[in-house]
Amino acid sequence: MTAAFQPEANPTSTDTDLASKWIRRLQFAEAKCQSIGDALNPILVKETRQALKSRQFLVTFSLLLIASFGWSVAGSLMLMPSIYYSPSAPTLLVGYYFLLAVPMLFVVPLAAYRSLAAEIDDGTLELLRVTTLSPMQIVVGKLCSAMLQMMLYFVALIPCVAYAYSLRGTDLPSLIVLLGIVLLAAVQLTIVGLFLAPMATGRAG
Amino acid sequence: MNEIGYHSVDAGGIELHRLHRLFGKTVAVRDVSFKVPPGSVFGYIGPNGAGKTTSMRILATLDLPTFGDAFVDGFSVIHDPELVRRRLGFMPDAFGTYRDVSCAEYLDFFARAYGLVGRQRAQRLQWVTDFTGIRDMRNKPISGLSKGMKQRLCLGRALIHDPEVLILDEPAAGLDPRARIELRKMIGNLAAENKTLLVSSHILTELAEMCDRVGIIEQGRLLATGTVEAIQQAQQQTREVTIRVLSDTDATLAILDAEESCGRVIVDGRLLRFEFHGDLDAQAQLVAFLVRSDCLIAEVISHQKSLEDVFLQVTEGLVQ
Repeated sequence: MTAAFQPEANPTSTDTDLASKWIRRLQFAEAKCQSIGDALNPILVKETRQALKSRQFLVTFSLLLIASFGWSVAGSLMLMPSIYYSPSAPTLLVGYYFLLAVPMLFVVPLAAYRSLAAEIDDGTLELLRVTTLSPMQIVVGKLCSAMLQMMLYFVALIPCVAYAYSLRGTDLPSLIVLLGIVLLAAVQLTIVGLFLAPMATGRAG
Repeated sequence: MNEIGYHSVDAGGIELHRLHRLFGKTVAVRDVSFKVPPGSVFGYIGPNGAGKTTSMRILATLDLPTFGDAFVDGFSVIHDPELVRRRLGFMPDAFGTYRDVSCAEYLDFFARAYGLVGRQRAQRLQWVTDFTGIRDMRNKPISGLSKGMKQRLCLGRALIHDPEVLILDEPAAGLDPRARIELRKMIGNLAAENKTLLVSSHILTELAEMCDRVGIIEQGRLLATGTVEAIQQAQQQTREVTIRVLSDTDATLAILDAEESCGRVIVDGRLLRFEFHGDLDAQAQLVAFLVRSDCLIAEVISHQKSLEDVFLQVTEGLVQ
């Protein structure tokens, strides 16, 4: 009687299979990420790379983190001891709101304005014009990059807002509406900044 | 891919057809026409303000002609600017770089801007960094590069989408001699790869060694086109001659003044300098005639005009 060959279960080969399976999955994920990256607006990619390395972003982001942490500590101490038994969220939220407003309403729109103005002044806009990018893609890319920076400032402040929310005294819809208003105002100001960039005094003639 | 557009009669290369560009009452380019066949290097020479950059900007689809048309790889810059941009690499005289960006990021951005994706982009980046010799500088910030390296990077940017036609506006301006030699080599290599190049400069000698043909422009007019040698020969029927006379200079001066082929005679002691219109044989006959006329000639110095002299002779120096 001949028995069919049955290979013994080899734990090493199982590990290898598992590893190669994961490698394939990671390669697939990488290819997907790359195709998503390829589909992104080139201006958005460039502006984001540039902005995240800039001193302006580093300083603003660090200051926002320090100030929000400082306000969390100072505000909580200020509200002691009522913070334990009465709703205290509104006071803290007002502080966070102002802290967020500074980068959202001033820093980001000004950076967007300067970015487009620098393209014109440094002659890089002409280099973009000879590529296959359309003017709309250039402006939308700048706007998207500004919005991405806004989101980063937003995300940085979320733990603080969550902390304030846990102190009671506000509801989620009000919070979303308030943050939505600042976001909308920031986007509008950025659009105005981008609109004004080509019309700066030095280029008007 | 079958692309429909306004084609020139001779597809490929560069063609300017009766190009005019007016800025108000100022005529920047006036009826300029020339052709650059595919795979050749054309030098565009002229003094500052001659109209070189304006014509190049029109070719790069950054400006429109007032009259006439220009074609890049057979496509009209007026009717098919999109198709022209895909086939054209433009390197303006300004570097046009960004702050807080490394060389690799800079090239990657322009590769994306030309629609290169995935492996194709990676391959072009690799090729460009190898070709321009900036591979070791990939991760360095652009702000830290020397002028020569920035120039290489900008050439790399113009080449990133593998264009058929390259327009380089004053590429050697401000470069040291070594960087100029390397740039010349790179231009030679590109021509060997069948790329069509239009290179501008206001220095004729700079272009003479790298260009198949040149065009001299001044005040928006194309004054001469052809090979450097042809232009030189056409302009160099005039030689500059200096003779040292040991006998009476007045008598020699009188003979030279009477000769139609001699002009602008200057007497400097025993030296007589003059322009001689004719070839070397005619010059030898003149010297023999002077000797027969009892002029004691101790020395004859004759030289052809340099390329710079030719340039000065062709252009009138009206615009600077």
